[in-house]
Amino acid sequence: MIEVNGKKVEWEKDMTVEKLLKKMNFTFPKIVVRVNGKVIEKSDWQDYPIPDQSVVQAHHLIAGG
Amino acid sequence: MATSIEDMRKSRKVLAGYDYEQAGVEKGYTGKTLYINISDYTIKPKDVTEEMKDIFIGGKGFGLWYLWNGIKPETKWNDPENEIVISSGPIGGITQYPGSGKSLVVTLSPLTKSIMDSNVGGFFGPYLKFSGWDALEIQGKSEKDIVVFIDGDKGRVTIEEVDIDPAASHLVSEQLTELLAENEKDKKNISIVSSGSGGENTNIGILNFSFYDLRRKAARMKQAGRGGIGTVFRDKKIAALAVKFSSLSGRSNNPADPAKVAKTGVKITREINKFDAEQFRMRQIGTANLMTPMNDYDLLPVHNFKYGSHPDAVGISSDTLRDRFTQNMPDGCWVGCALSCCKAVDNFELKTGPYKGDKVLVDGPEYENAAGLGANCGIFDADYVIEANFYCDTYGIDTISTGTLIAFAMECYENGIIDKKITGGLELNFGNADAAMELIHQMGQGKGFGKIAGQGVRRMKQIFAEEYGADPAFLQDIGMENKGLEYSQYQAKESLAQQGGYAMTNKGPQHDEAWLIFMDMVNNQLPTFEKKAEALHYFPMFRTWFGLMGLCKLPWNDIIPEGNSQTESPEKIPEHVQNYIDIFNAVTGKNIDQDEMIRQSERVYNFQRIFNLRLGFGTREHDAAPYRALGPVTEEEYESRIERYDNQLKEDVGIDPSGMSIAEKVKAMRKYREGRYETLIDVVYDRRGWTKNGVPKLEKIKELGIDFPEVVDVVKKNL
Amino acid sequence: MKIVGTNEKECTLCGACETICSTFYFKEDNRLKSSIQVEEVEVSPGAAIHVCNQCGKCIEVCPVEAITRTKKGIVIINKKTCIGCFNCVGVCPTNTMFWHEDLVEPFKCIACARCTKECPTEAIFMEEVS
Repeated sequence: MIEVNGKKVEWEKDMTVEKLLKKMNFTFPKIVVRVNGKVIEKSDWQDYPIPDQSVVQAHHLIAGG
Repeated sequence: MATSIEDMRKSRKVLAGYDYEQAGVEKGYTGKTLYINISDYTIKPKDVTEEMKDIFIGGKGFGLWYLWNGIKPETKWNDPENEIVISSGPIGGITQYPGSGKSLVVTLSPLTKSIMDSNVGGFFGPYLKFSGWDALEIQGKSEKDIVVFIDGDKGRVTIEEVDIDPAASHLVSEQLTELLAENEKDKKNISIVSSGSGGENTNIGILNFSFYDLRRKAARMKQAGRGGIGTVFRDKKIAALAVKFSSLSGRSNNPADPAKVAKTGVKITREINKFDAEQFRMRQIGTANLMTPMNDYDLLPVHNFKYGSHPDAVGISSDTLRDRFTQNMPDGCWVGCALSCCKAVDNFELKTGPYKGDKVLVDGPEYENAAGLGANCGIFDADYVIEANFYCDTYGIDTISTGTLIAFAMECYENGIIDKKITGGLELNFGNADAAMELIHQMGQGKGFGKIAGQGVRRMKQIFAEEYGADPAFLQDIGMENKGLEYSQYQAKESLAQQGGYAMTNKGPQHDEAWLIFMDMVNNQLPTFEKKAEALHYFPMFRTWFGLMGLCKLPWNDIIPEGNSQTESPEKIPEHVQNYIDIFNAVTGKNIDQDEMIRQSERVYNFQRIFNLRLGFGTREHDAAPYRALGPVTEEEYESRIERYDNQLKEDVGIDPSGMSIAEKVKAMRKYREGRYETLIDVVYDRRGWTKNGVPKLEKIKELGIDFPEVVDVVKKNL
Repeated sequence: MKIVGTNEKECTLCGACETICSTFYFKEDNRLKSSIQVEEVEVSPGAAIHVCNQCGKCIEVCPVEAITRTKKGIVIINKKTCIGCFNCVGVCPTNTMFWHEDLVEPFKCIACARCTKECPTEAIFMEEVS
């Protein structure tokens, strides 16, 4: 189990940032991802592993119309 | 009507004139405002006092102050005392920083019967200021259609009769621009404010503010859309306002520190050039960039806000709309705006209505138009959205209210509350684009069912209940209005903070005070009531500030500077907040900090709340939300997201949903959500310094320095 | 058209080009008001020469159509029309649309060739390009 934006999410084997965002349906173009406090650059999302028990923040930078 | 511009010129008859010595602009202010009474043709200047600048700043603040002094508590929107005040603000009119050409309009609204304010682009506000006037205050009521001309070149104001048909705003803008311009090049020095026949026939009339597009050679328009300001305008029998100012320069606003203004402007202009294409694509798609993400995150209103997405939404997605726009950089509604979010569809051939067959230029469509006229009515057809957008603009009716009220009528029709007999044959099923288009024509022209629909959702609820025996409770649940104003186009069911951001507003449910859906619902950055309340304090105050200055909100957070994610509060965009403080100080020569910035807004925000109180509104009961805005009203809605709602019952409410009927689940969910909304109101009021009934406390107004005797009187009466 | 060509290897950073340009157009010897600016850089060849290549990207973004191309192909700013919004500065791919805090309008190289005549090392010269 991991925590994403404060909510419990099922952990999966070989989970990466990219896979997690896909699972969450987080398609927005401007998301700041932190895994256990560390900002992960977009270019690293494909490979960056998310270990079980991680605390992830995926902050969408949008404040609307 | 005049058939040529020459005839129109010959028809001009001056009813009253006033020559003035142009007050130069000094640090963002001229120090003078223009008062015009169109009943008795008074035209006179008023002085802007230091106190006005300190407390009300400009823009919406000036509008509220003049309206407060111009009307009585019992004044109705269509009384002659009602005013329309237009003012830009001290920063308005600078060319160096993007989004700095806005005008703020304030009046008593026919929809809410209370204070309305609207923030609009176009050249009028800046040209008005550079012509010598920090604000234009119009009072009275004319017997026949008139045009007010302000010639900033010659220093002359006239009230005139002109042979012009005020029915179609796009033609009024074009013809008056033509009338006033000495040649093609001169057209960019002119701005026209007009409404249209919809302003006469509905309660949702808008004002169109023109800006001349040199490359397209067309007078384009931006809309002061919300709350029926155009209805007041036409009720006063104003056909148009026109301003001409021919010597715009980078120093017209005469800032105290022009170097600082330029430096800050160049910085963000470079930032926009560097990042916009990979961020929000404001230059490519404008606000319509939101269509796809809103649908993806279940936030796009569908079928009168029942749902948040639809499989057919691709028909009006961001990219579908982008492909319809004719790219023409720079597309700004004020000169020099580097964010350039205006979009246009050129040579669009109209298929319906009085201009059928004409090839026209359509502004937008913006997100709100595609979401409201399209998705919310179940119509996922870009051609329809563009045509409806055109006609709303030219009739002068609000696209946002139009979308929400047609969606409401459609749900009523599908529920048998109204039928073909009542609609005059219109089959108002969700998705029926032809019927929706016909209804827009009826509203614009004051015909058939359009005469009822054009009065807005609140009035429709009353008519359907009183005359057609509908259940008022159900209508209250599904009628998406608060304070009499129709909701703008975001699905807020899953964001408690945004529910407050909509319904705890001063003017009604428009998202210009706060847009917290992602912060709250997706990012979960506001997990407690206290955090939600803090956001519902900070953001409405921060965003009020734009309306005091003559600024647009978009360059604040629709472009994000480098390193923003590393800051303490990325959602506030700290670097841009600092830019605004720098620009304000550089223009006015004052020295404010972030705390004072928020206090500037708080003064005006609380004053507006008290103004509502003075008119008999502004208390807690007026911040109630229709349940459709808070949660699933019907079993159909519940079932459409049953997994989500069942989960919430289990985890958030602490009820085991298994074995419960859908009706029982809907009821349990409702009790929970309505309870939370009431708690939110308590916490937010407390944070804002208000009583449990939503009245600003005396110590709060003292602390803010707005404790004038007449303000204190109003507050005391409500304590 | 003829533009100012550069050969950065030859540049000695003497600043003669900046002096003649700012003195001629702004009546003061101030490199920050020159439409050609040379800069010492750490990477080889040690000097960078910033001068407009007349690409014309700025023409498209000018909201008041103050920037045009002459018959000879040179991009010029009409200062009477310019309203000083600096959109052109923001969009310039070579950072050679210059601005200075004393001035309302931006400024740029109009290929007058004065600087090339001052350059002691032929690091800048007039060059025909298509």
